[in-house]
Amino acid sequence: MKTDQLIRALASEADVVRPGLAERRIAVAGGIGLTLAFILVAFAFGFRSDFGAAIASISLKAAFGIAAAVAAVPLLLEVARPNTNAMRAAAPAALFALASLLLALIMFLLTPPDARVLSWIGGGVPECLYRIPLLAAPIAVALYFAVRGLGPTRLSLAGAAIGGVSGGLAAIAYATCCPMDSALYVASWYLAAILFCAALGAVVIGRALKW
Amino acid sequence: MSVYEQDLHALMTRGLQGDAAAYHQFLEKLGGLFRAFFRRKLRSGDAAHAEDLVQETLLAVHLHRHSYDAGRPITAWVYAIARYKLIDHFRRTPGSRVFVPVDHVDDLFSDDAPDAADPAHDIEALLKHLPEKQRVAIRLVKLEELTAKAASQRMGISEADVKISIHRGLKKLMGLVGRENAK
Repeated sequence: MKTDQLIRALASEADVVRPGLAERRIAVAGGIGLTLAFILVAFAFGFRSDFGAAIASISLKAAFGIAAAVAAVPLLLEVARPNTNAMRAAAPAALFALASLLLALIMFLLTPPDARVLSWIGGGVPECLYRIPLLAAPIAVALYFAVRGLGPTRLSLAGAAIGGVSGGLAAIAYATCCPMDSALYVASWYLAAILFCAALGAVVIGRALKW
Repeated sequence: MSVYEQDLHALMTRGLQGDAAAYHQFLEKLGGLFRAFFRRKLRSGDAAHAEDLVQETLLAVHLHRHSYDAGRPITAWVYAIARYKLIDHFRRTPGSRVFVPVDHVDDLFSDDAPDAADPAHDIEALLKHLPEKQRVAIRLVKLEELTAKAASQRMGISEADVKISIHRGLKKLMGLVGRENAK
């Protein structure tokens, strides 16, 4: 086929395109994924038995998840489509990670030395390290379907952004079942779990996004 | 912002509102840009592959047009797709990679909205060396494709003056290009 013919054929398909499609698709997918994550918490882990009494700390932990997701969304919106200036869009996510690390460090120094270990890792292995990624899985799948077809050109980065947003949203759902309330715990392990989601996303989703 | 960016952005925006003529013009301009881009990036003599890539990229632009956000530069958007197709091509046919060592793959990327492949970018730089009248005449007639008559009305000078200005300006430009190449 001659290029001119192709251009004529494509031009004849010109139609009215409503702006904001990427944003809408990502918002809908995030909503569906988050709902699934909450359902998963209810059936797999169960909400906290002292939910009413712990509502303040649950809200704070959920706020951490919301902040993480909000920080990663600009990057996702940028790399979900053909783009070149991902660096600027990644700034909020990087700032959030730094702030979280700083918070962990401050809380570590403020905690009396003999209470540190308990405050930091609680009873044994921090469960959120595998529970947050587990809850993030349905969100990541929903976001993957939303982003596929938008034409991402930096696939690993797009995968990482999907993972990061999923991890942040998953942390909101996880906050309702997580028994650990120390800021030191949340700022270090929630962050680690979200970063793990981003790394996994870069490898797995990044590959799946190829077009 | 380059003239090129403004031009393409206007055409694409109208195309997305359902203006088939503007969209047609947009795709034609892209065709030219992509042809220059791929010919430069591929081995010489690989014109057939370059044309295939031009078509693939045009199709990809068309299929992803709903993800274009009018608030972002259009040149960056279309070149991101072209680069993606180019790298995909290198991956599929390792033999074609000869002139682009993987270490230098960064050379393929440009964060500037007016990509280096944007010919208007180079021309604008050269035009700066010309006197006002010659510069405006060349821009109107040679770049914006107005007739000499329309340009003379816009500039408020005679048609003959426009033609002479273009002639002198082009001559001077040739001299400038020749000097740059000799460097």
